[in-house]
Amino acid sequence: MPDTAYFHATDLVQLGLLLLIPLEILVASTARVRAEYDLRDTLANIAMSVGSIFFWGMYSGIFMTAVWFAYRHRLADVPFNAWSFVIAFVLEDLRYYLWHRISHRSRWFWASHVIHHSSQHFNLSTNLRQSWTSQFSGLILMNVPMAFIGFHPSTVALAFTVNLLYQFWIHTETIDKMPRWFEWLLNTPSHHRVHHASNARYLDANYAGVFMIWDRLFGTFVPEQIEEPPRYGLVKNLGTVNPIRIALHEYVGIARDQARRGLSLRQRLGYFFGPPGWRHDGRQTTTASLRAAEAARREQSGGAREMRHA
Amino acid sequence: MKELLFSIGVNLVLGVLLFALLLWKRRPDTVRLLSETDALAEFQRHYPEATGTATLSADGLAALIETASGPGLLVAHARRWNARMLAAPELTAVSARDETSLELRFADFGWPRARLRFADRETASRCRARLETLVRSGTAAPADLHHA
Repeated sequence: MPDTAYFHATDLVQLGLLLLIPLEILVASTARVRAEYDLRDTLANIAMSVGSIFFWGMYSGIFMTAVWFAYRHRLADVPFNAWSFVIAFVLEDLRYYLWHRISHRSRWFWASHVIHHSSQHFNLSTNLRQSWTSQFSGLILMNVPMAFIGFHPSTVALAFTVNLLYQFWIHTETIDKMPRWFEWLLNTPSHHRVHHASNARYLDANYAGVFMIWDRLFGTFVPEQIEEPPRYGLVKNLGTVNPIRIALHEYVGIARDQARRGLSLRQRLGYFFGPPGWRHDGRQTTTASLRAAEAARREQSGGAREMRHA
Repeated sequence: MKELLFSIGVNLVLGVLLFALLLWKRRPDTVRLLSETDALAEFQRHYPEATGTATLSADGLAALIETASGPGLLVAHARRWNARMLAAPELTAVSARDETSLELRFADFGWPRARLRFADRETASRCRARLETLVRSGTAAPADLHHA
């Protein structure tokens, strides 16, 4: 079991990372680097963070009970040392990749995660825009298998925390690209800008937490292209900074779709667990349909250009 | 207890610092529509196939776009632009806030309302009449304009 000193260290790191936000604003004010802040947007981010901490505190007991239950019925005893922590960290990162991918591909889970993507700005304060319902969606139980294998719940929690702390610095436009080896192996601001973009080309890509290898391995890696700057936010953006509306808008959308009359069970399940933007009447805005429309547009404009040349 | 006070103190200082920096950095006029061409170009970033005419709000923070598929709306949100095609049942009501301002209400929890202030009474009442017709007609959203 890891010593409490490790957790105190992560608290200090967290405070240090928070200091980077005003630093980014200061540096960006010199106009040497790119970073866009908006007062209302940043205040909404802070409000979402406060709410997230509050609800995490309220409901984490349920999740921890499940983790402890699994640990009591563990398959083996994994001691806490440097090697076991490395293994735990890699496993946790794979868990994060899977969790993240499901969170983007199924509307029920997206309803919780969409909060983090709802800002049209991308800066260090975007980190703070966190879900209020992550415990509620059920995916938090994906942490249970590690405890069942035999990793102590504190080790699981430490790996989880370190993974999230790593992801703080990648929410920025101030850093263009890291060295090539770094870009290949690890998640970087460039990769994460793609992940937060709503351009059809960039949708549903780069789910990695720390190691980019998961995206490369499972075919979800998309590099940032200079000719197509990311447009941050959602396909259908929010027109509010009200934290309650930000936190619940997709759930309200699900409820409204479920209230439609005359839907089959299959269609109702589609509105619940189908990909975000799915519609029963064919007027979809899913990633696949948006990419198809974009490809058709490009082909059309390419054809028109060819005709002009001829 | 000491740790808790330390955390609260640090966060308080950070909060104040952040707020001050944001106030200092705030440039409210960075997104404004200066012309109809600006508005159409911005609208086309959201709906690439849209063509038509634009009516700008007096403050340049919004515009109504009349396209071949019906009216659309462009509104500043933070330092970005939000756009949507206007049609019932998403557009639920249009009301006058005063002689030159309109409030549009949507059946969308994530974007419940938009406000537009026009330069004169005539423009406001013309736009209001156009949008009220739309609400009353109950016409569904046009299917031939695709969101980018």
